[in-house]
Amino acid sequence: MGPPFSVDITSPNFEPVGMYTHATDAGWISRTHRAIKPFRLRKPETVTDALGACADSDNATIIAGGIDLIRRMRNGDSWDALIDISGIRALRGITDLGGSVRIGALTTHWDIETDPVLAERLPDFQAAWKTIGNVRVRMTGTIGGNLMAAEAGYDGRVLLGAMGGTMAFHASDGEYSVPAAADIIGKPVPALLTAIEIPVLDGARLAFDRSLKPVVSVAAQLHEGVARIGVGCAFEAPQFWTGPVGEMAVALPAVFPDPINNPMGSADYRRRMIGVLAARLILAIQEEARS
Amino acid sequence: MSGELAFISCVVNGVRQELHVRTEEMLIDVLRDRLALTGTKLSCDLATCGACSVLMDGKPAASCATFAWQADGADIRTIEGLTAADGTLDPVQQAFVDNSAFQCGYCTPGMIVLARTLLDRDPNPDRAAIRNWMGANICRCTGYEMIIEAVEKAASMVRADAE
Amino acid sequence: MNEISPRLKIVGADLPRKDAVPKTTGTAMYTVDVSFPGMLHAKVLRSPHAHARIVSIDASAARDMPGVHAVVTRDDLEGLNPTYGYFIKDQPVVAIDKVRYIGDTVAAIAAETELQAVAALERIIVEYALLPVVATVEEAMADTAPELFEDEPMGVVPAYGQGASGARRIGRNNCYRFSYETGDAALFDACDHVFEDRFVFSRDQHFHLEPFVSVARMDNDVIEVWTSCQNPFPLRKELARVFQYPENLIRVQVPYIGAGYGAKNNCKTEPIAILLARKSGRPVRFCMTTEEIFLTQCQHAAILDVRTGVMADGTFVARSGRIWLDSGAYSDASPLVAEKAGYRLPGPYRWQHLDIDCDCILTNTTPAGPYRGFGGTQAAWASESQIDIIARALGRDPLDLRLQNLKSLGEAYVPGESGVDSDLRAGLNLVADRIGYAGRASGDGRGMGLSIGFKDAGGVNKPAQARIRITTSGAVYLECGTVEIGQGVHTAMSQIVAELLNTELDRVRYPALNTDYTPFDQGTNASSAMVVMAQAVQQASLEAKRKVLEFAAAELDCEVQEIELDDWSIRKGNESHPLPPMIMRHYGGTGYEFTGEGFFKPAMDHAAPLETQCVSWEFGWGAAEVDVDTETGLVRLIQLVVSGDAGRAINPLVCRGQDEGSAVMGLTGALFPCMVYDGAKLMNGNGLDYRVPLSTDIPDGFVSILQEQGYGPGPFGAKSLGEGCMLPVASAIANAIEDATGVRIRELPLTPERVLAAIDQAGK
Repeated sequence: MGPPFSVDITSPNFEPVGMYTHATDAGWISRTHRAIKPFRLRKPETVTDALGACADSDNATIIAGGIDLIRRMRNGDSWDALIDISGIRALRGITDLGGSVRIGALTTHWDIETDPVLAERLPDFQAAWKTIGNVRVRMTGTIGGNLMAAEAGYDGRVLLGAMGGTMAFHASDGEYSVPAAADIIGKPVPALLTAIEIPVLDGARLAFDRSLKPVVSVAAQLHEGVARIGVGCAFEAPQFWTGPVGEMAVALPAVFPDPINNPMGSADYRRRMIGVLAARLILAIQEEARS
Repeated sequence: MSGELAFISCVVNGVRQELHVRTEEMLIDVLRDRLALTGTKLSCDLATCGACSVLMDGKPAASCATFAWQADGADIRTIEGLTAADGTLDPVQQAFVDNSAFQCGYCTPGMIVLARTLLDRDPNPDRAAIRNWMGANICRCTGYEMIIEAVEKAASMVRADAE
Repeated sequence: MNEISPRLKIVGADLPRKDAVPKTTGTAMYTVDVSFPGMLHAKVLRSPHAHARIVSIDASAARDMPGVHAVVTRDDLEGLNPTYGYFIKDQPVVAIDKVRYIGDTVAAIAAETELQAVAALERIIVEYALLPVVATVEEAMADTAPELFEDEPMGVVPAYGQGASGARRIGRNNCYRFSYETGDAALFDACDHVFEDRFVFSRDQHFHLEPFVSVARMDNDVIEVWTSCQNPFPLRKELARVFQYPENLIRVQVPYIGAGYGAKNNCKTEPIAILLARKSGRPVRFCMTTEEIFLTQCQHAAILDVRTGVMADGTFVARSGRIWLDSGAYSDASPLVAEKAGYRLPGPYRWQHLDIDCDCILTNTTPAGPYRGFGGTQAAWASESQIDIIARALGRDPLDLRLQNLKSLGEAYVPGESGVDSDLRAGLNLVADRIGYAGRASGDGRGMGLSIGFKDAGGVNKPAQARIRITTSGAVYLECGTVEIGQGVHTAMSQIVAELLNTELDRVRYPALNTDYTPFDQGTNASSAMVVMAQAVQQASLEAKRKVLEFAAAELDCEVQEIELDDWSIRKGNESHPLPPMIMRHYGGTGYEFTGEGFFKPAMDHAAPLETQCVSWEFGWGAAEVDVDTETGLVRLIQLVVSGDAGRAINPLVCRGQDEGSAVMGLTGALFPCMVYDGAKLMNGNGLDYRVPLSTDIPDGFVSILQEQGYGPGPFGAKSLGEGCMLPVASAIANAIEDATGVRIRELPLTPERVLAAIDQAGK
C-alpha cells in the first residue's frame, strides 16, 4: 500500500549546483554566500513543532547540517523561513529493532560509520556508507540531509534502496513509510523525514562500486537468490531493480529509462556500465559466499 | 531588505565571544571580518575544497557553509588558535614548517586544521589512513606527498610529547 | 650525479622557508586579506550568450539602488583606451560592441554589500542580438563561421630570428600564427617511414585556490592597486595605457599570491576595480568566485597534426607539425603560447628538418592564456605519444629509440640556439630504472610508458633587475620583482644572497613587491627565477659585497685581496674587524647602506629563432605504470615516477615540491574530465563539479627524484624547475596504456569512456 500523499524530495528548479545564477535576461551573476537573502530562523524542539513551523510559512525549508541547503542559497534560492531541526533529539540515534535497524534522520554519516550496532547487524552497509563524501562532509552531513538533497550524484538513496530500506515521514496528518527504492514524485507537502529503517536479512550481502563516478555508481544486494540493484548518477533520480539474480543480466539495464546523455558521459556508456558493474558486484558477493 | 538577528555565544580560540549575527551571516565572515582572524581562507565557497576549514567542537567544519548561528555554544579553533600565546607552534604546524609541506599556502590553514582533527582522534594513523583523511581538502600546489609526510611526522611528534 | 650535493653553507640546505611560519599560522597576507575603511564590493554582470551584439544597455535603474556607489558599462569608458591584451589588444574592460563568450563581462557595480550589488545588477537591462556561435576550433575555422572580430584589433607581430616568423589574421578567427622552419623539406622524401598522427589535447583550468582579486583605491592622484598578479610591471604598463595615466602614478602592490600557475598575468580584476574606485571615490575590492575564474582564463585545448619521417634504423629525420590552439574568445597570451607550442614540438631530439605552424583560433569560450607548461604540455602530449607509436611500428623498444635520438649535453636545440643543459639520457635511464621499465610486465591490462617533457626555460629576451641593500648592522634587503606564488622563491633567492654574502639566511629580507620601490621585472613565469632573476640577484649581491670590501680595505689600509667578508665582520688574516663601528666611524655616526645593482638579459641574437638564445632548458622525465580495466576503461595509476634536473638545488625540499606539484597537476589533463563543454556552455566550472586530483588519487607508487647535474646557468649551476614534471605525465600514461592493452589513444583526457571506446575500436 502506497502512501496517501506524495512527498516532494525532488530538487527545487534551479541550474546545476555551482553554476552562475541566472539573474535576468541581461546576464549571469556569480554569487558568494554573502548574497544569501535574509530569512527567519526557527528552532523547534519536537517534530510536531517543526511541522507547525513549516505550516506557519508559505516558503519555509528544513535545515539540518546545512551544506546542501547553503549551496542552493548561495546560488540564489531563498526561503522566508529556515527551520533548524538539529535540536530535535527524537531524530537522532541508531536503534536495533531486531528484524531491522532504525537510523534517525539527523544521524551523521560519521555516526553511521562508527556505530557498533551497525558494525554488528549491517556491516556491509556501514562499509559502503563510509565511502560517502569525505571526512569533513561525513562529520557534519546527516543521512536525512543526504536523502532530502536528492542530488543525482549522491549515493545515500542508492544504497538504501538496494537494501530495501524505508524512509519514515511525519506529516500533519500522520506518519508514513516510503520505500527508498520507490519512484517518488513530487508535490510539496509539509512532511519531515524522521528516520530510515533498514531490514536486517540473514545472509544478505551488499556491495558497492563508485569507481566510475560521476558517471555511474551501482549498489547490489544479494539475498536468497534475490538481487536488489540501485543505480546512481546515471539518471536524474536513482533507479532500482529487484528480482531473481538469474534474471538480472536480461533485465538490466533494459528496465531502466534512458540514462543521462551529456558530455560527462554518454547514455550508451552509462547503460553498458550498469550491466558490467552490477554483474561484477553480484559475482563478487557470490564468490565470497562460496569461500 | 531586512532580516533577523540571532545572538550567539561561543568560544573562539579559547576566548568567549558574544555577538549579534544576522541569520544569513556565515561563520567565515564573522571570523575574518569581525574577529580579524584572516588565516581562514575562502575559495570554492561550496564546502568542497576545505580551505575554509575550522575546528568546531573538534570536528573539521567548512566555515563558508556554516551559518554563524550554527556555531552558538560551540568551541571553535581556527589556525591562529593552534599557535600558542608565546608563539610556539602546534606539532602539526611545526611539521608543515619542517617538511616544507606547503607552497602558495592558501590551503595550508585548512590542511593543518584537518590534520589536527585526525591526530586528535588517532595519534598513530598509518599512511593509508592519513591519505584517506586528507582527501577531504584540495591542494593544487604540492601533489600531497609532502603533506602526508608532514602529518606522519606530526603524529610521531604528538606521540613523543605524550610519552 | 644523482645525489643531492652537500651544502655549501646555505645553498643546498633544506632550510625552513621564509614564508613557513606566516603560512602555517595564518598570518600570511594575501590580496584577499587587504581591506580599507569604506571599502566597496564589486560584482559584475556576465553575458548569458556565447556570441551576441549588444544592441543596448540601460543601467539607469541600477545607479539609484541602495548602497550603489558606481556603475560601469560601455557608456562609462570615456578617457580610456578600453581594450587590453598581450600582442593583440582585443579584450575590453567591459563589453563594448559584442559579447563573445558566456561569462564575458557586460557591466560592473561597486556597492556597500554584495547583496546590494547583486540587486542592482539585476536591474540592468541589456538587449542582445544573437549571433551564430562557434564553440570549437573546427566550427570557428569553417567558411561560414562568424568572425569574433570583424575588424582587426590593434596588435603587433614581434621580430623573430632565424627560421621563425609570425603572422596575424590569416584565416577565419585565426588571430595569430607562429611558424618555425629549418632544414630541407625534401628530406621527408628520403625517409624510410613517415608517420602522420592527429592528437587532441584537453582543456584544464588552473584552479588556483585564491581567486582573481584586487583592491584599488585612489591615493590622491596615485592609483593604488593591490592585486594577486604575477607580472606587476607589465600590468602597470598596461594600466597606464588603458587609463592613459602616467606609469609612475600607478602603484601595484603584490602580497603573497595564493597560486596562479600562469593565470594571474596582465589585466584581470584590476581595470574594473580601478574604474569603480575612481568613480566612487572609495576603495573597491573585486574578488571573483571560483565559478568566475572558470569564465576568465583557462588552458589551451589543442589539435596537433604531427608528421614525422624516420629511417628504418630509427633515426629521426624530419618533423612537420600543424597545431591549432583553442584560444577562447580573446587572444590573451595565445600568440606567445603558439610560439612555444610550435617551438617545442620537436622535443629534445635531433632533427634535420623542422616545419611547424601553430595557429591561435578564437572560439566563443573562456579565453585561454598562460598555463603551466605553456604549449610545452600540448607539444609533449603529441611528440612523446608519437615516439612510442613509431617505436612499436619499427619493432623498437621505446626507451631505446629515445636514447638513440636524444640530443647530447651542449648540443644546440636548433640552428642558432643554445645547447641543452642536461644529460638527457642519464635522466631517462634514471626514471626507467626506478619504475622497472626493462623486464616490466606488459599486457593483460598492465603496462608502463616513458616520456620526456621538454620546454625552454627562462622566458624569451627576458630582462631582470635586482638590488641588494645592506644596512650598517648587516641587515640585508633583497629587492627584486619575482613574486612569491608558492614556488619558494623568497627563500631560494635569499639563500643565494646569504651564501654569496657569507651571512645567515635570517639576515636577508625580501620585501613584498611594490612597483614604487621594487626594481623592474618582466614577470614571475617561464621557469625563469633561478636562471634569469637569480643571475641579476647574484650580480647585485657581488656588487654590494665588492663595495663593502673596497670600503673595508680603505678603512683598514690594505688590499681587497687580503680581506674576506665573514658575516658582518671583515676577516684579515687572524683578525676580525666588525663592520658596524667601522661604518659609523666613517660616516660621522650616522650610518650607511651599501647597495648593489644587478641586471641580466640574454644578448640579442638574430641567428637565434626567438631573437635571443634560450637561457636554459627544462626537462621533466616521466614514467608511468597503469592497470587498465578493459571492461570499464578505468585506468588505475600504479606508479608515477618523475624527475627534474635542478642543476644545483638551492633548497632541495622546495625543488621536490615543484616536481611533485607539477606532476600531479599534469594528472588532471591526463585522467580527469577537465573542462567539459556542452557546445559553448561550460558544464563543470565550479569547485564542486570540477575534478582536481585529491590525495586519494595519488598512488603509493608516486615518487619524484631530484637530479643535480650541475650544468645550469644560474648561480652555483642552478637550473629552474616548476613546469618540467607536468609535461610528460599524459603521454607517459598513454604510452603505458598502449603497453598494457595494445591500444593507442590520441585524445585527452583518458576518461574511462574514451579508453573503453578505443579498446572496442581496436577489437574490431
